[in-house]
Amino acid sequence: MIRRDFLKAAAVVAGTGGAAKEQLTALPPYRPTALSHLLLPMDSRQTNHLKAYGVTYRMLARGGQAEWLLNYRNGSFLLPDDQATVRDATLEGVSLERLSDADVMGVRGTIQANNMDTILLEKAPNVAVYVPPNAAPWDDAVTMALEYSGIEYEKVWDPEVVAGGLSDHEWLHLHHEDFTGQFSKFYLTYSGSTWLNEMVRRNAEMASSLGFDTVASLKKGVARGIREFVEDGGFLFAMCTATETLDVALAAEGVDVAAQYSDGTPMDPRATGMLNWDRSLAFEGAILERSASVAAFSDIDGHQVNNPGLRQPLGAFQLFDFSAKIDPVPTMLVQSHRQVIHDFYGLTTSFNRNRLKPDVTVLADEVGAPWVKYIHGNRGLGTWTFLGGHDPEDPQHQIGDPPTDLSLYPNSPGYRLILNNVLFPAAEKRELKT
Amino acid sequence: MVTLRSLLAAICFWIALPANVVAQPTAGVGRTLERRGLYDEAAAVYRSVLENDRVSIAAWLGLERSLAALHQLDSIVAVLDSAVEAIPSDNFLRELQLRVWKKLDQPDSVTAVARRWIRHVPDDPNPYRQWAHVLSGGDNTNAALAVLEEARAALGANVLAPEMAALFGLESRWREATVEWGKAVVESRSNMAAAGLALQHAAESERDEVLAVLTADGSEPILSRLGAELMVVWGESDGGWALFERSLSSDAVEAATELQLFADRLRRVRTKASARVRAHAYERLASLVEGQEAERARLDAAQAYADAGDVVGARRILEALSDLTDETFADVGAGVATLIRITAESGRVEEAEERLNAWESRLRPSEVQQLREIVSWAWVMSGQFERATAVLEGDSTVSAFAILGWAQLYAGNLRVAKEHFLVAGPFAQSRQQATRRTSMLALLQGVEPDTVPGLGEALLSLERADTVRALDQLVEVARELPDSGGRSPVLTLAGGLAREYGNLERAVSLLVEALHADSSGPSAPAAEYALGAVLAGSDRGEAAAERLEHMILTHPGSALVPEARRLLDQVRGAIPNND
Repeated sequence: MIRRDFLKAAAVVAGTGGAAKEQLTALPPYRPTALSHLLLPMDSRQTNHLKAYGVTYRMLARGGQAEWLLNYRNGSFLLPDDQATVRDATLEGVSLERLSDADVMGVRGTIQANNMDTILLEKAPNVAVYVPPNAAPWDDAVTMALEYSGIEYEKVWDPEVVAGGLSDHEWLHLHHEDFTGQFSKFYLTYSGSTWLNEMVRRNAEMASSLGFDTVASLKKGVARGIREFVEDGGFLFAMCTATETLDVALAAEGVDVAAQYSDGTPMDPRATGMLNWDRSLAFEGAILERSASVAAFSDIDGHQVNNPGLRQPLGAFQLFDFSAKIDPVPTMLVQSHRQVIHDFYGLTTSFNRNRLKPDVTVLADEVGAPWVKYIHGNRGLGTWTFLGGHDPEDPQHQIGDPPTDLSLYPNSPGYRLILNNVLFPAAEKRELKT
Repeated sequence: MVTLRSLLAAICFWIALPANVVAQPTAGVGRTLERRGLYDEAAAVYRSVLENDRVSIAAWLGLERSLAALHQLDSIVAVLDSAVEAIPSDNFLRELQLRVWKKLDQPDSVTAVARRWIRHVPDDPNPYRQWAHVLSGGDNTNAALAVLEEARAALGANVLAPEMAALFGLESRWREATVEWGKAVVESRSNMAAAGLALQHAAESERDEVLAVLTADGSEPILSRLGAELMVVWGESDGGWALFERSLSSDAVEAATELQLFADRLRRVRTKASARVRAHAYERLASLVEGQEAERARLDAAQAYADAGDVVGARRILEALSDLTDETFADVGAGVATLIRITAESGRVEEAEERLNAWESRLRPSEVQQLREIVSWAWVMSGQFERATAVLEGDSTVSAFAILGWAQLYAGNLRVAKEHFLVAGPFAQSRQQATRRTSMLALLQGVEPDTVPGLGEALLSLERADTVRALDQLVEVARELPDSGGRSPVLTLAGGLAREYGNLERAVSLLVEALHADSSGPSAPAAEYALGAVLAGSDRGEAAAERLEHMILTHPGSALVPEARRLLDQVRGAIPNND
């Protein structure tokens, strides 16, 4: 059952009682009574944190259930002891500990007495990544994390989104797509590059084949499709430019925010004042960057990496500590063995606090800085999570850099944040505070 | 502020010191207090020293450090001003004044004290030099350059050229830096080394411009020689030597000096091409001088040829030295050692041993030890194991045991070889050689018989880089060994060789045979990992993954498991193949 189905069921319960309540209570009850268990610790004893998510995911994919022990040894996983899981963990180099029923009782006691909680993971989420069809996985932190940890995903792009194909998935990831249709303003630095020419050609052909006048109008249509996916109960996770440009594109319905080089007409000089932020997910009141020669989109990004006069140095961001029993969703999203993580640049690196909507939950920020790094919120029946930056283990990533080899960073706390989001939709659906 | 407590502490400290120290506090006492972190007390001592000796550099520096640590550097100003007033010609005090104001971030005061100093010694470039130095240390290169320009306007167009050049270098203005270094070198040949070291950092795109400045028509020959040195540093050794030869003085004495300096300066460039240029320079030098000086130059040339990997060149020089006399020997010990080494390494081991025996008593013991090992190793490589052993007879060093271990191994005496390697331990010879011995020990531990001459021959072929022959020999000897008594590790080694040699099918066949011979012994993980790697390298990803998974699951404790996991990730496409 995906989130939207569950919430519809819950709404029925609230409105009609009786029969619907039976429907809800008919869900498989939570029975943590296996004879013996495997604990995948996620503290410093774990030899490969990233692959531990994959081992858990594959156990769910085989039809099993797992428990996510929030805040217990930095978000460990408790799995039933089965041969396939032991084999998988051995192959992947994931540390596991065998627990007896008595050990498990002790763990549960610890969880009960502390700021910890148990979340049942009941189903391997159906994951989609929004990416052009032929893109290699190596330039996208999420696909790198999924590939490395062995979590299956499907690629979707404009035709699938425009045709409503996202409803087949529970989880959607966006990375460095520019939904304003300006090709990330790469023209400024990479004009004439083969890959840029190919990107422009492919997007222009796609716009034309789907009946849009320009790439900018196509991307706005795609942004609307993504918002509808969230409103219908989907889980959206976005990084880098996709965060900022998705909201700008949503707010800019009917407003020309694209530079002349991309759609043939200059940006409307009154564009900033014409934006409707009710349509966006996370941000409001942003001022657009009007110059086509500045590789920035708005003042949402705190770091402005390609804006020489405004560029800010990298610091470190700190994950917030939430109440696991009251706020399990943000608690899930911040499970990590490091509370403070080195920051990393992206075309959008961070989000200025004064551009966040009031109902946004901040998951991580840089202490004393005017920006935050990691945010979460709800829209309709679904949720979205935004993480600024491009690659947690390549803080100064440049186009053309060698791809990040995650086998060199098996304990990356930054990549754990991405994988928290991947498993989040697997969690048992229950009414959540946030 | 110095408190009563701190003064008392300092006094107590002096009391605890020997009588001769108590009599008069010194800057050394202050330094000791500083090390203890007692900056208040140290400052009090330094002040006390300065009351008796106003020009004690150690005390001034100590006071500066202590007050800076206390964030009270401004309190030095008054006492410093008064010292400068009393001794206006003391350059150190003037420099300290500049530095203190700079640290206090008072640019106007820096300028004021600099101007006062200049007024005091209007014809001296030193105030400008120190002023510019203080400014450039604060990353204010343009201001420092302006100060130097002012000095030139006042004192002449060529003053402070090295300082000007260094600042241009900091700004990556290499053409201007070259012009300035040119002036400095023409002014004094002693600036040559600094100029070379500075200009060698010029960006690749700027190098032609640098050379054009140095070799322009009408420029001094010394600048061409600087250009030649830079060319060698930048990897254009032939061109550099040609340019140097063209600029060499026609006067023999001058030319000899130039050659010696040129070759000596190139010692910092540790490339073979540079060593060859040095060899040319020393050989040319040898032709310009006589007697012991010529012998010395020839030996240096031989050494440089050897460093360049030119054994023929080195031998050509050394042949002419074979009639060294006792008189010349004292100066040429190192050259003799080179001669023996080159002779041994070029395969004339008998001759090398004779020379070593003849000169042994006149060489340093450490040289003799090293040369014996070289000669012994040369005998090992030529298959004369008894002679190799004889050369090191009585030598109980770990290095000797390491060499004798190889001699025994190649003779097929595996048990003795193992014993020698164990005695040699992990610290004999280089780290790389120690690792080789450890790998060989691991192989030998899986071979049951004490003596296997065929294996020794095969491994010697391998040492001689005759891979094809070694491969055939290893396969042949492996098939004579018991299944669990050495066949598997030797076949695994052969499989690895076949893989390196590019014969992937043979590698697969040998590694499969190794696994069939012993699928659970100590060599099995290595064989299976190597098989997985061969399959992965020949686009048989699925088969490779199966092998690697089997290896990880069957031998989870093997040291090769992390490598196997990484390769498995690559085979599956889970990580990029950056190797």
